[in-house]
Amino acid sequence: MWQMMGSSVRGPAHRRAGQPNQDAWLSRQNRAFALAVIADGLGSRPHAAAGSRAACRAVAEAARAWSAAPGAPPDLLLRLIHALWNIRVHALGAGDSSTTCAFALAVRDGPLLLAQLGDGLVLARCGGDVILLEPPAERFGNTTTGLGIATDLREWRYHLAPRPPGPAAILLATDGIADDLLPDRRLDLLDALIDRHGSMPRGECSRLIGSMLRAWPTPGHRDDKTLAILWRTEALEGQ
Amino acid sequence: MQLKEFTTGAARPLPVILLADVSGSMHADGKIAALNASIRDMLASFATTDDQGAEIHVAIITFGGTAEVQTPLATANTVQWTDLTARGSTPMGKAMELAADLIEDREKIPARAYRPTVVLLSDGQPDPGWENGLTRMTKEGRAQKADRMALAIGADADVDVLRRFVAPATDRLFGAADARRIRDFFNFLTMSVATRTRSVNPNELPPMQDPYDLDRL
Repeated sequence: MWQMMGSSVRGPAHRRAGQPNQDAWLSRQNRAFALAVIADGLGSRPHAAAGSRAACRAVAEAARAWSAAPGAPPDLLLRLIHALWNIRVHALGAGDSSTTCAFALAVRDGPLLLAQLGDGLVLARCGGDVILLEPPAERFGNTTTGLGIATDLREWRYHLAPRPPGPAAILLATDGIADDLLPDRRLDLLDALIDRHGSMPRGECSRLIGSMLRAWPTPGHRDDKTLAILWRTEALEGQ
Repeated sequence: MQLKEFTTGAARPLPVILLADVSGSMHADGKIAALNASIRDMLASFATTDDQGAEIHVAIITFGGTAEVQTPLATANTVQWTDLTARGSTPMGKAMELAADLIEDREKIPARAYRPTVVLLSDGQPDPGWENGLTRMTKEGRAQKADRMALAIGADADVDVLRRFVAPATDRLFGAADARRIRDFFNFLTMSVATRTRSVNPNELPPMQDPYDLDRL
């Protein structure tokens, strides 16, 4: 049984400018899969907020189809995400709605797929393995690709674990968080959030994380901030 | 739980790198004096830019006889400025290579930094062998992703080289016919960078307001 927590808050720059939070997140759990998605609408695009929300819904919709087709390659899921997102933002214009997208999808009795398009952070501890997805170091902050920009599926980074046994914990974070984290403390943050807040009712947990994100300590921070965590404490049945 | 246990205490830097021609010809017509006064004013202005935005870091690379990092990259309010003196030839290409080295150094300019602004100022013809520096700044690695601006000082500047430096953003090549216009350019540069630090996304270049009516080449 997977558990989830997360929150998304508007950053100081958008608060000062009277603009909405352009990040979004979504979590879903049903009989077929557990899913957490985050998206960071690109600030320069007029419909970035709608684009990030559309990305979350597109991933959830695509996950339903992909999880029902055991053995289907991740490429098919990613193509479907692009197609569904393009349909959702068609009236607004894909170029005006561009957004990053990252998700963790755990299919029941099936694989765990971690995927990322654009900047931000995906960090997972599965058994003894640590999996890290993040953009190349030769970038600068706030420069990225995303839905509405990428023209090739190879711009996605992903990791597919066939059927990861045992406890697992996954952190998804937009760049407003990821770029300010000390690299060697990221796993500690994941563990601390689960330890301190994992047993709380979900709404209370979300509010508490939101309060923490609003009081972000890095000087001069400005970005919207979104964090989602998916974790499982027990081993899979039969393993 | 204290988030600051897990986060950096440093603001995101917005690097500004000046490549300043201090060859012998800059002595003439008060150009070096105007450049010194302009840089001093710019540093003072950056140092007092409000702290709600990005933290402006400045490096100054000079080329006159030799190319050297005159001011290593540092926050504007910690730079200890000493006036430049003009002498020697114009090793502009070497200066561009030093700038590329700096931009590629991820310790000095981390991935979380905003895109650097690199400003090339020159009043003359570069020494032979400048092409490698231009290639490194405009076609390779992270350096090519920097925002580039250039100022041609006086009538003898090699406008073609400066245009290739800013390409394809040809609207970011300016001209200063005399020392007074160097001050105007620096006022414009200071305003542009300060505007970036206050914008929602400092990587987006703001519309280029130009109250100084600069000459565009």
